[in-house]
Amino acid sequence: MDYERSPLLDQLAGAYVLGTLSRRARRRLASVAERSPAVQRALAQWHERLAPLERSIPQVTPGAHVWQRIAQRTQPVPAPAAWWQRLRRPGWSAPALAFSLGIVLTLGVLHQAPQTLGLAPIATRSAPSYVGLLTDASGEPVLGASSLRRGTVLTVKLLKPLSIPAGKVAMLWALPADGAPVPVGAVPGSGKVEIALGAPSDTVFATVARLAVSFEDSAGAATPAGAFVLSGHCIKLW
Amino acid sequence: MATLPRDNEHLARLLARTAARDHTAFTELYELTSAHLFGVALRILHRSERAEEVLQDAYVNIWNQAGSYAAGLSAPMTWLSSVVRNKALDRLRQVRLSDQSTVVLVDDEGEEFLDQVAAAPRADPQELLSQATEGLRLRHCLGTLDAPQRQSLALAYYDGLSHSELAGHLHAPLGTVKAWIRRGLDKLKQCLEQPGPAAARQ
Repeated sequence: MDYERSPLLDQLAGAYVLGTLSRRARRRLASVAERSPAVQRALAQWHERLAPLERSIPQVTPGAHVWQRIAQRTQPVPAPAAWWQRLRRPGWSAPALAFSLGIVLTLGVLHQAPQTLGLAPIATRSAPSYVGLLTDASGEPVLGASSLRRGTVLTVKLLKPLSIPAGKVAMLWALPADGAPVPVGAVPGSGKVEIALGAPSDTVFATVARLAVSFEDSAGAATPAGAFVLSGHCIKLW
Repeated sequence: MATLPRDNEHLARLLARTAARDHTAFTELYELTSAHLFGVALRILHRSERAEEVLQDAYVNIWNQAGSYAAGLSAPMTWLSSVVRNKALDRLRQVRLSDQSTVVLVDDEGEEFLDQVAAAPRADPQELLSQATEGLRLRHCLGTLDAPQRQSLALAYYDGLSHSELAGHLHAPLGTVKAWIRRGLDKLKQCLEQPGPAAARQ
């Protein structure tokens, strides 16, 4: 279907920008736009045409708390220093450092239990983190995910290969207790991947009760179109 | 902060730096644009806490997706306001769905709303339309529309009314309202695309 050349596209784009489309129609056009430059162009042209209408809307300065919350959600958070980096802080004399390193290494080796999955960096005590174990329909664990509480990376490991249909992408979703699924990122069929989160884990997963994987046409899907093939609880460990 | 920023090049530079994770540039972008964008969200959503939520989500989106801003497609301010407007309209559709079953007279939110209404009487959409287009080619083009077409465009743009809400508001059949909008937008587009004096294009 050559919808990109259809005059209907221009009408829909105009109605979208004007704001008259129903919720459902808005969502469908927005999801088509993600994949289609022609739709993006039609929308941008209508935004540009109607933009002057905004001139008469009175400006209102938002309260300071609005910026504070935005800053909290956007300010890059330095990843928590690993234990060996913490040891390099000034004030540690070389002998003390060597001595401590000896102890820490010993403890580290003692604590390298085989069941750590190799996910998040494990120090002598597991750091506060979010953890998810996703199972398939038969209850078999297939995917493990974890992220340090204040980290901005989610480490995902396939515990067994996931067969992704040709032409599809396996997408990981965060399912908040009260809200629509939020896309986290694409996951491979096997191996391990690190997904950069837009914000610290604490912000992204605070209200997330479950994680799930569905097969989508593209990694840009805003809402899951396919059924969840894997799912599991998302728990915080601290 | 009190005036609509006109310096598109500066805004485009701030967006580019924001895309490169420069939080200082993002902060300046917020300072320059948030009063205008909050006004837009507030106009559509009426309630300040809803408009604040939308504004927050919009700026977090802008922080994460500044790289997808295409300078060739739209002016920076247009792009920013499209993010806010889209989110506000989505939220409005969601809210109206849940409000349908509840008659809000005076609860917490209702009271705050009444305070705001008392403090700032809302301008009539037609009036806003007329103010906005003062001296613009768009004004001439809006003048070529029939009155019902112009009125439904204004109500949709400033109050976020959907096709079916417009039909209820204007006591007209849904099909008629859809045709007003469609023909109104069509005429507007054709008129704006005609070559005209450059100065009148703003």
